[in-house]
Amino acid sequence: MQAALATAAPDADEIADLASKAMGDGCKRSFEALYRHHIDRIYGLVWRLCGCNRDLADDLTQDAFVRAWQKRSSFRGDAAFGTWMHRVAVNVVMSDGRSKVRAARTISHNATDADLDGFGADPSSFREHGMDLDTAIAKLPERTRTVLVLYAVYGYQHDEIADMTGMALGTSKSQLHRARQLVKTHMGMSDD
Amino acid sequence: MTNDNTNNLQSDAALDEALASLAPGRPPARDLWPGIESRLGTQPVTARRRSPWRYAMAASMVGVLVGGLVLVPKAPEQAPITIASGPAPETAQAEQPWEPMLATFRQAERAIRTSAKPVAASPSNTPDNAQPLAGTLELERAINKLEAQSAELREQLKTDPNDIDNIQTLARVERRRLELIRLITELDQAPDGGFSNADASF
Repeated sequence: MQAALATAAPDADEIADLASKAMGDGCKRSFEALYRHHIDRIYGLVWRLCGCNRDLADDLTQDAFVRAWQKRSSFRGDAAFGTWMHRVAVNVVMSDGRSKVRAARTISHNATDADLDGFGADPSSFREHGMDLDTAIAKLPERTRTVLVLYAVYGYQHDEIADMTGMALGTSKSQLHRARQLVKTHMGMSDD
Repeated sequence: MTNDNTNNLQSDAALDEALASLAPGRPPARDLWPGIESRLGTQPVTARRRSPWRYAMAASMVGVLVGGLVLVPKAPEQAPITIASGPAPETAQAEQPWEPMLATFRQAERAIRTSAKPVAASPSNTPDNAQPLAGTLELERAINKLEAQSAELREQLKTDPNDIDNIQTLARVERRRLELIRLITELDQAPDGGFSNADASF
């Protein structure tokens, strides 16, 4: 187990083994190893979904991992742990985190360079358009932002997004279209 | 193609390129694990919204256990729990601070198990048709679960032998495990498995 914790990138078999021990046997050290392996992607997802607010992302990411532990009996192993964990994180942000997201909305809309420091695409290539891409995404309405992040950054398809978020398939598509228009406007890439 | 359409395609392509270049991962500014770990043993965040059937199930489990304790006659002879006077064989090497406590519980467990008389063979209790009671199976599952918890705690204590929280939790787990072993031994010793005919529907 120490080796699993120490190595930076366990392979797929090791991840499956850790997931089995953590989710099936309730082994906390295996769960910690899973956390270490997946934290960057989960945190990145939560951070974007909640509008690039660092404190809120910290809070909701912790909630997501605690929720995953509490719901570990529902992990069947037929999906990769990372995929299952993404779903848990989205659920946390969209349900329990919603009130926190709303409370922090004003902060999100003023995401600072410190919040965005060292992350995302090279800001210099987009600053010429007037705004950093992550800042533009953070300014989107909640549902619009969720669809754009899941589709464009994490590669989910509309049917998967509809399943994860509970919105209709058509709504997911229209929200993506709206998101793209709004981001282009925010970044000064609009054709108007 | 008009200039508007051309601009549109260009801006779409630029946006696609920008979105594709976003890194999906972002390390948090601080280690979030300690905060997570401290909450792993707590009740679910949404505990106040849990369905009433969970409470009903918990209440009936308590009822079954309490009912079992009341209905099951005491074993005729029960060896007193003895505490090992010397170091246990497994503690011959560098002894961890929690190992004497564990050895005491395991000694008590051995005393309970060895004091249990073999169940007399009867026409209704042969290996071919012996049917373990559902309550016994539940107890065995609970004992196995506690053993797994104990093993996990001992593993953690190898890393930090002086973690007082883990030592106290280990003591609680071992104490509970011992109680259940004693209970299941008493159930096995009872001539009718702890349930009279009148209680068969229990």
